[in-house]
Amino acid sequence: MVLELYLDLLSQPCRAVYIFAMKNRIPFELRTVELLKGHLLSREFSQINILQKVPTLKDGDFILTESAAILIYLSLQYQTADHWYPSELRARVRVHEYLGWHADCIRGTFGVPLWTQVLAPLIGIHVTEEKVERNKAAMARALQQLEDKFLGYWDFLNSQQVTLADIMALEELMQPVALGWDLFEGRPKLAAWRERVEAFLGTDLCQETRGRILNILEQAANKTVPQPVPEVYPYMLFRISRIP
Amino acid sequence: MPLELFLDLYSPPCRAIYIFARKNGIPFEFRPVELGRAEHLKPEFLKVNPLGKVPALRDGDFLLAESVAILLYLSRKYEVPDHWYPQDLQARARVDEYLAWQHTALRSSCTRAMWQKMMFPVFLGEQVPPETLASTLTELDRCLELLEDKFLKDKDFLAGPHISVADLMAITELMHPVSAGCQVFNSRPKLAAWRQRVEAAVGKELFQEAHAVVMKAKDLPPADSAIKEKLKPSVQVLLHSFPPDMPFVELDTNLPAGRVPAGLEKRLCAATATILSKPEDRVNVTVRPGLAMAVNGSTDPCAQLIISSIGVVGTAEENRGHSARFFEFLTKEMGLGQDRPPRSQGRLPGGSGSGGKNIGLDAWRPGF
Repeated sequence: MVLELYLDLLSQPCRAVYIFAMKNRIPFELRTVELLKGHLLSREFSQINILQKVPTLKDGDFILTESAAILIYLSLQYQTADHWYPSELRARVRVHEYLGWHADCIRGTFGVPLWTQVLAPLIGIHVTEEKVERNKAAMARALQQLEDKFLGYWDFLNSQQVTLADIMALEELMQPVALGWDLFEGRPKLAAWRERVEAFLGTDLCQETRGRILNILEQAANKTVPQPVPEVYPYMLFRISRIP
Repeated sequence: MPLELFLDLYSPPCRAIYIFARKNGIPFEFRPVELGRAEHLKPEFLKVNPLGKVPALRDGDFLLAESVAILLYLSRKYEVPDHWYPQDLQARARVDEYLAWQHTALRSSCTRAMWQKMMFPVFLGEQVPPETLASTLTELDRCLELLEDKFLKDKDFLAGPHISVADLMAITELMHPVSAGCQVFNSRPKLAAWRQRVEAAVGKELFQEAHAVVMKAKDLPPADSAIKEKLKPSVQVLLHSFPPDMPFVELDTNLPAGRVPAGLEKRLCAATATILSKPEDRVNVTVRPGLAMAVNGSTDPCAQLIISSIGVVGTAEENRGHSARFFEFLTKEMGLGQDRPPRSQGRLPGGSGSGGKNIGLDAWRPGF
């Protein structure tokens, strides 16, 4: 039985999982599930993941959710190069230290522009300027902490080599970048880090992974973003209401 | 130099680490950091954790922040029994999965529930709007449901047959709203049974000792203004999140735009606000005229109204009442006759934590 990865590449954590699996040549079958088309709510998918979220991994009978858990599982199961999730204890827990902070300060914050600029308008909702400003400030604070505490003088986050932390972080940051926010402007240290990560991953892989998100504004202008099916409205409303 | 753990037992992850270290006989020096005195923001502590948060660890020259990182470090360094954080790939993946989920789900609703119910009014002297608290408690309820249905299921513990760090993180988190008087376990026998098992596995005495401080939080004297000023920026976010309902109304009709009364969307907005008792500025209305619609095989003029509202909506009885009032409004506005009695349908669509209920009203035919 081959490994299956259920992913929607519009989603940042899905891209991190995809990039990791591809870069490490892990054999898997991509099962594309699109939030906007209601795939996550289908009975079929609900039976695989009762939380109805992506990314989801299915390895025979073993089903796993949560991108951090999936990345760790893949790195150990497929014995990827040590630098991704180092076996040395102190280096390893540094990855967890980043992922803990990431869950609080990055996740949920950097995804907001896609919602305010593309997804909410699709269902006729306008997110207030106040919230947009608040999100902008939250992103700025997070980027400062990312630079000061996690990048510091390292080449990568808490490390001299690429780890799971770097791909989780970068795919989150690419979300607003795709929406026209130049997060790296005026932040040469972070820009240099991004270049190093992308050089390591390979431009082709990065482009391929980010195909859907990179031209999202164009899609929105041409009205080629899939119109959300009514069943996903409640989830979309809920997500929009979570924007502080 | 011995291991130092910088903790405030008011904080759930700190309690988890305290219990874990004590239960496993890990020698450490307890370095108290009083959040209520803003000690986590002082320069001395920022040297230990520049992120200004507890828990934090110092092992000689090694500084570490973040609860999950600390638990893993302690598990491996002190070679605790395997069940706490198993080496087996799939078993540990279950622990990792829970630890990842709780960050963005349970932690948030437990902290806000406790703060909105107790800390804001008692400690900071700030009243919290009842709708905010209600919406937070609903969300907490949804998280508890997920905890039971997705993680616990029929197992004895969250990640398998034995207690793990996942259970410690969960139980200490749930004790937070309990300390504020929220009934977390009373109506959930499965969760209550799990709690008993966790307490037994940890040891009742240790469990109670770890929770002594937070269980007395309701007796805290109010903070002085200097402390309030220091804490306010970081705790404001606990008030902001998740505003009350945003009712979302869609009216689809095959009547051409010219036949739909001008300004209907505004009046429908106002009517929705009245019927659902929600602020008008939170109501979203979309009217779609000129659609190709067939109801029961007929393409006669008709309209369909769908109302989605997340969070607290009401009982089936209340929904039927709402339906009737919407129907009355639309009949007057659009001169419609009723084809069938309107019915309410409750539906819980997916998406983690979303509890939307659709009041789907049946299609009408106009009386002309």
